[in-house]
Amino acid sequence: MFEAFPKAVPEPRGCGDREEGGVYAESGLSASGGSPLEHFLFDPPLPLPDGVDLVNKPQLWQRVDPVSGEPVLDPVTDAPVYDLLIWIGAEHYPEAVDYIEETRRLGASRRLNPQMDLSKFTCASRMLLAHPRAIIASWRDLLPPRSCRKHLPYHDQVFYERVYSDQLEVGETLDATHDDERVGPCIFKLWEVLSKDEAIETFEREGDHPLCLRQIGSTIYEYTPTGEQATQWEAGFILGLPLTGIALIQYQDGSVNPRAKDKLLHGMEQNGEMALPFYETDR
Amino acid sequence: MTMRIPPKQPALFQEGEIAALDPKLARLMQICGIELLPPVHTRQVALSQIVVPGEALVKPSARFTRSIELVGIRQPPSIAFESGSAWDGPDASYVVVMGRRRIASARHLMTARDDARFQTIKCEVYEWNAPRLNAFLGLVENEQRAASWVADVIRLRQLIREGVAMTLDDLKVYGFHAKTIKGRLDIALLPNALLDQICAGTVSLEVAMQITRLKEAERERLDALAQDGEAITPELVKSLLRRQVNQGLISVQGTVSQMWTTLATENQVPSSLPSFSQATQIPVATESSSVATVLTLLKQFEPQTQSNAALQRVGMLTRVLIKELEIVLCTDSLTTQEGETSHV
Repeated sequence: MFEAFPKAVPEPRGCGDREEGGVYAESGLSASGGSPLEHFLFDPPLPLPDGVDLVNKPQLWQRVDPVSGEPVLDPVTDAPVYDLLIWIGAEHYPEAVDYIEETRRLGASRRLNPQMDLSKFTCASRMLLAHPRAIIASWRDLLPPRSCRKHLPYHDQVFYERVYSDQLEVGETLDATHDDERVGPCIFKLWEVLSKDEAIETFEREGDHPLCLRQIGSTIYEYTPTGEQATQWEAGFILGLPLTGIALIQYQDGSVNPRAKDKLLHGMEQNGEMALPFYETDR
Repeated sequence: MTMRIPPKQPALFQEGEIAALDPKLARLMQICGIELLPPVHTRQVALSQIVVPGEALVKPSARFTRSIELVGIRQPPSIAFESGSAWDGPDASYVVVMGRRRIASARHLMTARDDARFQTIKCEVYEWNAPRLNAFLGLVENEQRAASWVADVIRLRQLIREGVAMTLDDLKVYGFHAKTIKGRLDIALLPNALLDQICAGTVSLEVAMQITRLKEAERERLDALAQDGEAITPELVKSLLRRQVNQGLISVQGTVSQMWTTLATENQVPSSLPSFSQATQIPVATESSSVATVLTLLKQFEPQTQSNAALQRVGMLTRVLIKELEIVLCTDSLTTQEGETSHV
């Protein structure tokens, strides 16, 4: 029905396994030629608009042009473009980093309400993912992260050390914590404030912070906690991912949620070449 | 079956009710296997005489118990005489018909805190036990215990108007569910014109909650409309909320558009290694082959760590490293869709 398209990896996740009859929005992994996840991170994470309630309520949101405020129309279908706003709960992903690292390895897969009008999604749709601990509100009290993987200016130690390299003695370090020009909170600080106590393994290193391993679902990832603690948090968007498809999880008898499938088939007719692909799978 | 003598007064239902409900009530009594409804009396009963069937499974919440501890049992539980010389005899024991959690909480407070207030409890005592009727009444009570949120808001509004100084923390201490009571309080603090419509019952809870999420400007706008006599409809509130959220999403959309534009530019550069940025510092071909070599070596080494306890930690680190290298080699990296940026 559809050409091969990127799919999420069906391995155990922080939120468990996918459920029979479930409808999942995916941002899949490509076998080759994809872009690193860092490109899709909001750095700094963006605060949630006032009044939006995403907890357990994924929202289909019509995209508007940031300049004109007018609805964005798909040039192929001439229809409005809809994005998906989704909440990642701290009950399954205590830290925003847990979700980011899982997505890096398995792709994104988020359960949708089958009542949602899935026919509105197209290949142009995106998933905007928010987490309750996305923004370190007290970031100005913390050191800049060692390295901003988006290489943004005034974000990290690497930047400051490069800018001030001619003024630094050999072996001397720079504390840019209170620099007025500093931009933040850099999303990459989230890795540094993870708790060492929650690591499944810790490798102490002489003269450096320990290397720790943390587990979420089947994902194990490394991080280097600095021992700093974030005292104040705000919810915010952390990732803006392409919506690559919808997975319909089969029941024992091989069938899938009929209502969701009907909507997706309707979307195929309606959106033509821009139709969002979907597939049926047992997990 | 023992024939029971019909009581004069008081009865579970009043005469008028029985007359009005007669055919259905008769049917219910038939289903319950009784010919008469048990007479009911209000009495102080010793807690030790009351049995809660399956009490070990009755788990009143901490805030429910806290509320009982604070204000006592305000609504008498219903109990039915089960055994003993007479329904009001000193040796009588009773089974709970309605109010299992109230009795369990009182028992807990008696045991854990030695709270003497609960040695006896005011109860509605049925002269005899009709288990089927009990089951039915329990179902009815639970079914009809609808969340009366409008009544809650009216009561809170009254307390606010009368200048009762209570914080959210106070309310939590009194046993209210923090999130629920905060929601009700947010509604009760809305401007009068809005609150009048809410208290009149013309606004659903969902819409009322949406109003509380409006920022000041939108809320004032809605208030002005309500003052002019306009009805608060779900559509009206939704449109104001949507406008507000769209405003807030402008910066998000702007950032996403920027990200996608950058991505399109980068993807135009032919590269077999679109992974981590450090790659640009090393010639691509060299990195690709050396990473692949290291990956192969690690994959050969990793099985040895599984059989050697001393290498257990190293094994975990190796597996993490293998995964990282696989990501670098782009066997697992995220993709963007063709043409995506042209729609931004």
